[in-house]
Amino acid sequence: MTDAGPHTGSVESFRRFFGSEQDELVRFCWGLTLDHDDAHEVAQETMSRAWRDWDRVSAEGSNPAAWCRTVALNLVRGMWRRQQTARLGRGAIETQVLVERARHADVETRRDLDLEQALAGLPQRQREAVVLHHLMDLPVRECAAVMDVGVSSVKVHLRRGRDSLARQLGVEPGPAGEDRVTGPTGQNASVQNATDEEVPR
Amino acid sequence: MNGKAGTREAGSRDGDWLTERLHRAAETAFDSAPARPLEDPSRGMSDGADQHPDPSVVHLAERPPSGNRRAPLLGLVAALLLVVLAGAWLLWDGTDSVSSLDPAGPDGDPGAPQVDSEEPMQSEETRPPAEVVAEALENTLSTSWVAEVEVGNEDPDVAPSSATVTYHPADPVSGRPYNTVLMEGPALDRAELALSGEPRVVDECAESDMPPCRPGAWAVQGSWNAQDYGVSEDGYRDRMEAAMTLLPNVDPTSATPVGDGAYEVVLSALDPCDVNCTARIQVADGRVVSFMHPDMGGRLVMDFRSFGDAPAVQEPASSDIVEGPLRPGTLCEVTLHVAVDTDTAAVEQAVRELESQMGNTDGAALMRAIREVPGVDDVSTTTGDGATCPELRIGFVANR
Repeated sequence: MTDAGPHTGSVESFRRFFGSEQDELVRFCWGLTLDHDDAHEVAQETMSRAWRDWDRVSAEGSNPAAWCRTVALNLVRGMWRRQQTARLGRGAIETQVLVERARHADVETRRDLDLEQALAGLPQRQREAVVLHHLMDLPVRECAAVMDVGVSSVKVHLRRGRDSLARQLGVEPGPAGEDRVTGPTGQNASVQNATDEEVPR
Repeated sequence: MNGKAGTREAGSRDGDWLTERLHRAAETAFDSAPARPLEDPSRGMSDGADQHPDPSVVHLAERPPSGNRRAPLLGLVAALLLVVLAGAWLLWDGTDSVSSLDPAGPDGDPGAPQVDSEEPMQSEETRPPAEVVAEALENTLSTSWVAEVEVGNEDPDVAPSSATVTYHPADPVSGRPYNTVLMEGPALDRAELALSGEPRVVDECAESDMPPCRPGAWAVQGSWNAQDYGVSEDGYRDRMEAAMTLLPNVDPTSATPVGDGAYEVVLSALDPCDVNCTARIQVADGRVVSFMHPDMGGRLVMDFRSFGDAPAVQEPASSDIVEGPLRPGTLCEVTLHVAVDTDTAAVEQAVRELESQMGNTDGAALMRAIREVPGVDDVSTTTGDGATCPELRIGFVANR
């Protein structure tokens, strides 16, 4: 980064990027935190860092949106660490908030709140994988890059996250199950041979 | 949220129940409480972010810890209850201790318990749990040991696999613990997973075609058959890596006795702690003899059967906690969490000196060293494994 900061041309490119990506970034952060304030804070911090390093983030061949997702994910992880160190159980807090919202919600909204509550109860990596793949519509390979884990690990996280959510929400996955993620037992070959888009049976 | 998010399509996962419900839940959430738009940082932020004259260092706006902002009355009540219970425990424990001591004491204060060398040592059951667990962790992490590890997954038809784990405390030179996992099975001669860096580990990994032994690298003798263990190779490695970093991250102050020398504990450093970050340890004879962690979808039970005779090291391994990726090479970016009144210029200078002295080819070691800089409360990074960059960028965030 030069001492003078980004050049005029890159200012314009950043503003275009900011305008087109800010909502998606907030949405992503909300999926991870299930909290509007936290999501806004993380997204704002992420964009600030992107602006600070824009010449590098936007260099030819790079993917600024993916960079932002990785930074946001790391910020959320850091937030979770500090919260858990303070022993304010995140799941407990979110449950309390969701219970309050449910009291005033209609049936459809309560279903959404049930999903939020179930999502809040997932382990960290499972929640990340579910949000990246199902809310952000990222292929498994990109999920792995953002989460900094192997592709097979993402598939395991997705399978367990989906199964956990299905159990809690009383959902029976469809018979075709083209998106169903399977466990590794006895099917490691199929897990490892699957394409990035496919999450095998 | 604008219309873009509202008209989003599920793409290749059209018809998938979870995709549809997540998208709908997001729309509902933002419809019921519309998000504030972000401020474009290129136009200058109006909510108080300080811009340091040096573009390589940005002093970020103060922000309260997010969890506290939403801490409900429930959290305060829970905290008060813990304080009351801790106080009751100490009073009960102190009363028993004081009653067995010489009431005169050096200062005549019956409220100041002292250890009388002729009195029997307090048993682990009567000492504060935090003290018992802290001592056990110190003894366990400062000596070498061998443990039998049982790893299973959710499939009831697959028997858990077992492995032998060896642990050596931090090498005084590298400052990093040396762990290996030895697995044996009918279809496998021997597979050894090297965790943490240490010269001996590199020698043992010389036969492997994996990269030089860094945390998570495999040294395989024979063949690896994931089906025999019921977990994928990546899954097993994730669990072993998690296990090796979990024990040093037990928070002794969180210890809650559950009987028979067992304690429920909280794990304070949570990456890669993937699951609910609690565990159960068993203490006997001043050491951790069992560690059980409800791993993601499986179980991980470590029974520490024997303790080696490696010389004790002065520095415990508890500082081997790396925020962010487990295997950063070159450290490209680091965010330092400091108090509001910290002299960030002095901290930055100290970090630059460390960078100059140590070089920047072992990101994990550099991060550990930065963590010890006076004034630094916490360190995190967005640097990914294998990243390269011309310089280390330093950022600060002030926590209240």
